[in-house]
Amino acid sequence: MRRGLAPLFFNLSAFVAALAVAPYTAPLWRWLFPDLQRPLWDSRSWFALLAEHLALALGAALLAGLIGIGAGVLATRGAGQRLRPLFDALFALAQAVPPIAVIALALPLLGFGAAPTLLALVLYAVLPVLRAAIAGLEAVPPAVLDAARGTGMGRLRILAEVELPLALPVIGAGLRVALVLAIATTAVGAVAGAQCLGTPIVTGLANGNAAWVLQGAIFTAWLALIADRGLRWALAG
Amino acid sequence: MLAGLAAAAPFLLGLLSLAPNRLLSPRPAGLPLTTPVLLSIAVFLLAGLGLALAACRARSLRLAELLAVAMMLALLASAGMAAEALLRDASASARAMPAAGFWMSVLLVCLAGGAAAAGRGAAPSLFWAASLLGGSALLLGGGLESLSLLKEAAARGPEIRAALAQHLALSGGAFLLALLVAGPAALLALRHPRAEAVLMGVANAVQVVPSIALFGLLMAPLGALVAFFPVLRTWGIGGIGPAPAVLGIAAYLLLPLASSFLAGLRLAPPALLEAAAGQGMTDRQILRAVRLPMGAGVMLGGLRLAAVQAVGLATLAALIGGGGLGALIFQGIGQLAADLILLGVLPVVALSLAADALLAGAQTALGARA
Repeated sequence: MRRGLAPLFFNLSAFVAALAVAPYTAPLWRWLFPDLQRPLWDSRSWFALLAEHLALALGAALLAGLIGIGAGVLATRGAGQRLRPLFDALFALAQAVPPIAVIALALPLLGFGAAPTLLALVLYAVLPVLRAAIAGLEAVPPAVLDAARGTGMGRLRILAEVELPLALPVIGAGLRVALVLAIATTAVGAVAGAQCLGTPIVTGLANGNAAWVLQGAIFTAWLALIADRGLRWALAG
Repeated sequence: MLAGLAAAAPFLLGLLSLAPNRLLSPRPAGLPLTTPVLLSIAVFLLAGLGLALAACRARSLRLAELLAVAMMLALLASAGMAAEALLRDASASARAMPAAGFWMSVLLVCLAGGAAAAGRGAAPSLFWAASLLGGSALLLGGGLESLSLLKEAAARGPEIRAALAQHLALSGGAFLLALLVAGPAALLALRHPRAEAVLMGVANAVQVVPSIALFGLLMAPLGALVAFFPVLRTWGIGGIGPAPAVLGIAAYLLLPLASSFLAGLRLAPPALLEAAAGQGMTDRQILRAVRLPMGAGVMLGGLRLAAVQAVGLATLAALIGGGGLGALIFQGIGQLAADLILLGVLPVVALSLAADALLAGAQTALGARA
């Protein structure tokens, strides 16, 4: 077992245990917030929220991966190279707009729920994948490409059997960054009515229930920290 | 190809839609066929045709870029005039708003203009500057007054100005607070490796926590603090309001500021530092005469990143009662009013782009001087 895995595993188990114990901590919250009628979040199971949170983040990372790798392949081919600065500018602009703004803009078009959140997450997560895809594809040594062409491989086969496999470690790193980014950003989606760990925060703010806000904030922050640690561990290995 | 799509989009998806009032959902509306509208649509189509032709030849790409500008302005003008014509025989509370075709076309024209600029290896600054200039001219000339976005803006003028001022105060205050903390902390970390580990550890951990969660985490302790020391409330500090927002935003700015300060201070090569010390310069003199001038570029880069982040983060401050442009956005979400959301989002994007451009300009000026 590599170093650093044990604390990560411990952290993750503590997180799951805390989620499981959370419904039984009513006395604690009643003591901390004596003025509130229902200080304990019990509208929806924490595990359901966690599952929806992760599903949103995973879906967004997957879509961002498809778009980012596709754009990266396009941007490293002959004709697409002219579009490189354009891609860069476009995705940099997408990053300059805060995710809450994207969600708000998409709301009238896509309606309440997960769809606007997914859009914002994809826009956000696509840049690291694109950068990684371009860097990975450009790092393939020209000699290897020449050799592949020499054996009579077609352009598509070279892409599928030589370039992408060689670029895979770099692209994988970009994908993992995208996933962690998506996990952290998903919480904002609660504003648009997407069910996730941010839901208790937004519901609590709307109802003036500081205890719900605190509970949601603790679990959202904890999950993001775990994801970040996991990423560091994975990239260091 | 982009030009062709851009020219077709308004006709396929509809240029404008009409809503009975500002809250009801709009319905697509036909184009009113008055002379000025027809004229500007003809200009739009001609420019599109010219753009498609010019884009085929590498030598005429500058012309293509200018034609993209013409397309954009003609599109804006047609939308403005068509809206005016539509509203002439509608009720007073009716709103004409740009429909999907308009937005699609704007996006595609931007892409085409950007592609033309990229094709000759330049930044699309000509396209942006010309479009912005022409757009403001149209705006000031009153050509767009009938569009719902501007009606909403006119109806809420003071509110928007107040939100803008609040937004600037929030992000500016957080920026100053983070500067006050990060500057001395970076100096301390330069001397003591232990302090650096602590500073970077804290800054990194904060960066990982989602902003909405951090605001939530700050709310309860600050609220408890005020309950304990009611004096604080008279100073405007509390669990809800600008105080936790400024604190939270400043916490996020710590990482870009502190890490760039440290990197900038370390830029001076050790040999140079030794030579300076050998000349009898004190630590303070070395800092002022050697370390700061050499690292200024890197530090400015950190300031730039932090300023852009501050503007974006301040949007969420409205969630915890901090006000700012985010308040308009959340109000718009609550009413599902697209115009109100846009009125909040557009200034945020403009502010962050302006902050970025301003500090980028400072960076180039510094680079030119050195």
